Amino acid sequence: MPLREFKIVVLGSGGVGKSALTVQFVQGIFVEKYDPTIEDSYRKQVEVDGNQCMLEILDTAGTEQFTAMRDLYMKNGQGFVLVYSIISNSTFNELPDLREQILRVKDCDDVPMVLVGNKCDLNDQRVISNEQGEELSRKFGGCVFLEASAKNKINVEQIFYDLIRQINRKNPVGPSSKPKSKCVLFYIGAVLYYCGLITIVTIDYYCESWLIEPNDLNIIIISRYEFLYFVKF
Amino acid sequence: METTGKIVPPIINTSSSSTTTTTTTTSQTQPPVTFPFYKPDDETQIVYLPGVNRREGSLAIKCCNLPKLIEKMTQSLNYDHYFTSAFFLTFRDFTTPLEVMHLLISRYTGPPADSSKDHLRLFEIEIEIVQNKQIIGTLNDNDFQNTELCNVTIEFINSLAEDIKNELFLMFFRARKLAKPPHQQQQKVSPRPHTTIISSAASTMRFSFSVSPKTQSPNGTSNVLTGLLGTNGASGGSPNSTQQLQSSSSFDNNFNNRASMKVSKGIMSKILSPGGSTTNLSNSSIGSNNSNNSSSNGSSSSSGGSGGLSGSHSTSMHISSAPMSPSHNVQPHQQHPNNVDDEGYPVSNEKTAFLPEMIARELTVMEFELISALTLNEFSQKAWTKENQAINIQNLIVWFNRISSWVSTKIISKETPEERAIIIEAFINIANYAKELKNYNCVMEILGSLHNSSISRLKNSWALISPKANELFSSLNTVMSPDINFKMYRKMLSLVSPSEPCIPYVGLFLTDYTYLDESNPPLVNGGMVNVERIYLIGNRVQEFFQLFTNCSYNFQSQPQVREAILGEKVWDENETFRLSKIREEHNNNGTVSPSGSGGSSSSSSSLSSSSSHHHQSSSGSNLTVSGVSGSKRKGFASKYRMSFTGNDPPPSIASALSERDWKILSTNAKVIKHKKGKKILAMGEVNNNLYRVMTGRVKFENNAPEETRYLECGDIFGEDSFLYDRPMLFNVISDSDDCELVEIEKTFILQLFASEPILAATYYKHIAVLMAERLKFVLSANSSHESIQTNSAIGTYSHLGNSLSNYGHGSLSTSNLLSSSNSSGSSGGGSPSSPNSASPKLTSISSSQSMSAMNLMDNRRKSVAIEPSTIDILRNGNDSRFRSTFGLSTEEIIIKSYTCKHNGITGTLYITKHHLCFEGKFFGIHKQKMNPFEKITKILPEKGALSLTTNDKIKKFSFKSQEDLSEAYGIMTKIWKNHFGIVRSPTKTVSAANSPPTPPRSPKIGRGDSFTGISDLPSKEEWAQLLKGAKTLTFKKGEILVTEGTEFHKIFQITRGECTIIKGLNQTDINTSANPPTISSLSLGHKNLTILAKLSAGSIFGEMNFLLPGGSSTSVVVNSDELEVYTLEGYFLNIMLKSKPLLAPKFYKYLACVLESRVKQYRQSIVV
Repeated sequence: MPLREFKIVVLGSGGVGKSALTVQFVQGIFVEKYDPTIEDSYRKQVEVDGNQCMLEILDTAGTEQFTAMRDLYMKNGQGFVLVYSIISNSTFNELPDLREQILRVKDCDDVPMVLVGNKCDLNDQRVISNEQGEELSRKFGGCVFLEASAKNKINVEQIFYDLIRQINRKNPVGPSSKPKSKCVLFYIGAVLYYCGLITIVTIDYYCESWLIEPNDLNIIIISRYEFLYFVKF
Repeated sequence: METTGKIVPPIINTSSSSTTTTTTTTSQTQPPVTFPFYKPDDETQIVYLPGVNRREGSLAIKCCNLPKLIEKMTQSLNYDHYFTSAFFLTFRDFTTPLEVMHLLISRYTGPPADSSKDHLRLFEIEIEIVQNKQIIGTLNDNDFQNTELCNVTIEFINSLAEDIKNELFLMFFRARKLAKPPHQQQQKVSPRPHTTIISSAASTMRFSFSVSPKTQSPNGTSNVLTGLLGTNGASGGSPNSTQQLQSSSSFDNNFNNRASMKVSKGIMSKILSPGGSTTNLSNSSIGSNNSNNSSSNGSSSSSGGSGGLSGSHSTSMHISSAPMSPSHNVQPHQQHPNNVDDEGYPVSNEKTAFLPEMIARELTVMEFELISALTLNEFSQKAWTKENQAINIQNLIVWFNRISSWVSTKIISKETPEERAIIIEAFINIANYAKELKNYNCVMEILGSLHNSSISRLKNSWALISPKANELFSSLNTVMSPDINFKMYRKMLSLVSPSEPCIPYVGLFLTDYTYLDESNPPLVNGGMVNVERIYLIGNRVQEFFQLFTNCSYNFQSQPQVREAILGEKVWDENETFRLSKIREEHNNNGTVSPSGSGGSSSSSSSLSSSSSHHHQSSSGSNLTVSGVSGSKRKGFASKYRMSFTGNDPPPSIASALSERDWKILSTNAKVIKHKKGKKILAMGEVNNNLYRVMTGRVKFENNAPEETRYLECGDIFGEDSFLYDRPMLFNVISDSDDCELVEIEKTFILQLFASEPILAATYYKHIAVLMAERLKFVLSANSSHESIQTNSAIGTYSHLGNSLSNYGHGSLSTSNLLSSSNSSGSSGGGSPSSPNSASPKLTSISSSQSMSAMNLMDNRRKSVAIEPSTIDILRNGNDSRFRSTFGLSTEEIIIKSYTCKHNGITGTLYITKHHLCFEGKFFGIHKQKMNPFEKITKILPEKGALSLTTNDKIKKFSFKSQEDLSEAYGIMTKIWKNHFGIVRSPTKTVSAANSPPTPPRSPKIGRGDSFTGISDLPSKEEWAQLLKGAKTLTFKKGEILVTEGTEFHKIFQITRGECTIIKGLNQTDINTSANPPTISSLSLGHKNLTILAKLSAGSIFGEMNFLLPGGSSTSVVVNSDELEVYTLEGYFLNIMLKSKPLLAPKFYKYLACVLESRVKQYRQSIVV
């Protein structure tokens, strides 16, 4: 069985310690030299609930101000880590908007997500209480909330493991496998417009699997019998 | 961000006294007593990497302590320029400038290493000098606060040989001058986000790759340096700056950077300027820079002898570099061969079509200018993540987001999926060209937009993308995919040959830099400098910079293309998303025909669709791709060209009724012919019809002869009956024998509107525009006269202003619109395609109308100037005073007033919509009587008097003349009958009041723009829909929201606070330095200031500018301590209304009502 890939996007304001969390998780140990330009900088193979998974983390650190890129980054991910710093109010307040944007991009209300209050080692400078974090997670549809510290290695692994479980729950087969094609009834003589190619379909039975290449595209079908379909495969 | 294992905080506050410098490094807070160098390379000093040849220099070092590092860096053997640069980029993470300065000085003044040969020592000295320059280059404003550092530096420079001394001094003071004085910086703290662009100029100095020491040192080592100098010269983004680079003396690197900063600023200010509010900001930022310069100028000249010299020198430089905006370094315009397309279509001036290739090129040229302005210093300590720093990186980021939004705006602004598909394809092609030009930043900008949820959700549009474009798109996606740490993209970048210019995606570099900076501890092994970190950062930075510093693009910038790109409006992300939602809903309502749909939709017989088609074609000019149509569309990139027409108004509902619309309206109409002198409508009558003059002339008259008006062919009247059921204020009489009128029943029109919402919207918009014109006229008429004279004159005018003057404006505006439609060809009223012989007729109409418009204008002026009769003053004795006397609501206006006698007292009888009032004085006894019409049971004319029966009491009013009596009787009976009529029952008012038309979020405080008794205004839900797109802005007292004469396209609604509408605000009253500009004092006694109205919560303003072209005719100033407004963008409204045909008529009707009531208010406020 091929290694299942999980793409996780780490989001949050600048300076909340996103990169520290990522590096802590990927490297596991304290390093004196870390090169972020190589392929495996953000990849890690882990075992969750007996399954081997390959995690790929996309971190937006440094590009927080590239608002135009957010949607593209978000599209790429299956699970999201929303990070704030417990010593900064503003980083906490920006998260609801980020979540809205994720839901918008994913066009779905149930997106695997973990809310993380980072830098919990700096308890003496804390301005966001644990309860506030809990409350926000409730507002976020009861998503998992963890306080973590990259520095003291608190809860770092849990964040990612939990996210993998969430993705697994939501998508048991795995998104890498092709979704099943839907069955569509075509009428005799239906004309298929597909990317400018005209195909005349002369079948009068349920197609078991109507495979359209390449990947996910809309096709528009017009039959001669006053039926207009928009079919998404 | 804290990284594990970091011992020293990354940001050492250099402004604090240097004695607090952290301990773990070899502490050199005092001038070093012991010479720290040349200690043996043992474990306590330096740790080498295993398995690396030590001759590799810095590459072989894992970590070492600071003096050792300085020693190694200044050794002539293994001199590594890039490493040195990286050191100066990162040294603040583990030490202070002062400490480094001390070390460098002691290294320079101290004895040479034993191992150094004499000729090498010479070179070492050169290196040390270079490094001294470099550290001076990195000094920022905080450092200049550190007096010890300054003193040490100055002392050291003074000790140097003459030529080097002068050079270093100059550098030092220039750096100091560029740095902002801190007290200025604190003042600059502003709540507006865009001020982040203003950054400390010192941080823009490129200290490393552009450092060009005049080394005449022996050996081949100087090649490195001269090579660098050459590189630097070639890297100048624009011809001008390159020249400047070479012409200015070589050590002037900070000035050069200043110049290049200017270049980028030019672009940036252009980028920012269309954004409305940001214009001021960019201006003020430049202004503040200037002031900073001048103030720091003074300080520097006082602190040092040569400072004055350098100060003036630099100022003149600044001035000379100031006009170096992009437009100057652009070559004189050359006709690009692409401007004429293959089929030989000439490219018109108004709508220039550009090939995707040209756009990609121009974007590349501009982006190259921006990226060339980057300096190393801006990356130090991730300065770009902080406010007011790293201006060039910030510029790039702003640019990136803006271009991305621009792409989205272009796509969203298209109405049909077909059009959008064409634009999407065009941008895919542009991205592809950008990729070929190796402008990966641009590719990312476009992909960022196309993957934006507002764009990617437009499934119907994407479905129409040609297979070829689809293929291109997916290949671009593969190449730029973030998968596996941008594997494909990184690979591609590594293959870029050094001789090719390239613009890498800046975001990825910033991420890399962030990780390098945060994930590698600056100090290891108990306080040793992590040399590997410096090396990694230096390597990555060098890799990044060499992509665009080795060579440049040799395209000519195309001014037209540039202007077209920069000049266009851009919507922000939320706005695009909202519009995208509308677009999709829109798509789902109408069936999308997948094939070439050109023919089918236009053949549809429904009025709404065909009229919308008409608007579409007139409005879709914002960006058109020519030569492509429906099914004939081929997948060839060259077929798509984009045209820019600057800031076209986005598609909206036509603002005037076309002949075609009139044909539909008059299907059921009566055509009435009148002989001269026939009374069509009488004063006081409630009109229920809409009239249009076809031929002949119609006279409007009341008792005042100066208010007589004439209407001619094409003019309409009675349209105000759609807003209010108000009695006429004029007698309408046909004035020629051939007078022909079309009479359309209001009920019929309302029925028609129910099934033809677009027609209704056009109609109400038409009325709203008429009202707006009228209001504008009232304002301009008022402003031309002053004080007392104005009052009475306005009084005269005001009477006609009420109900009927708008038909006068009707002719005015129609002619305006007609002429404008002739000249601009925009969505005007004339539809030449209409089957009847409308076109020739129309021209005649327009000419005659312009005549009548002129007459009207003359009449108005006259009427304003005429000395009013006493009766006028009495009669117009301002409605508000009248109302306050009788305690009536604002709805009550005087229809007519007469002098008459009642119970032996001579006084004035006022007739209003609901009441009959009498006011008289008898030997100082003030008599007031008020009778509601409802209570009057009988009205009888008697000889010379009218007798009214109320509550079984008979009241008699005797009139001066029989004419007055009969007229008054006519008016009163009509009103009276109406009160018992079926048409307007008071219950209607009540039912309408149940669903108040005021926006739901606005509290009904004070005088809100609420209208009870008028049906078909937007409902609560619809307001919610409209306001969904609104932004909330807050202002402080005295701030000017709208300045007279400025153009904007927004509607504001006050949610909290108050503001004042002011006429005659001068530039001198405005404190422009503040942002937004404020008014220094709200002095009501100011001779030129007229306060027209006070608006409180619930009121709207900006509607005139929304409807009419041209600048605002009034200023709006905040009057309360805090004002909160919703802002609805005009284009959003236009698109929203266009796509929601049921809402549009209601909204325009609402606007018309607001304007109508405002005309009244303004009039009153001037009178009072």
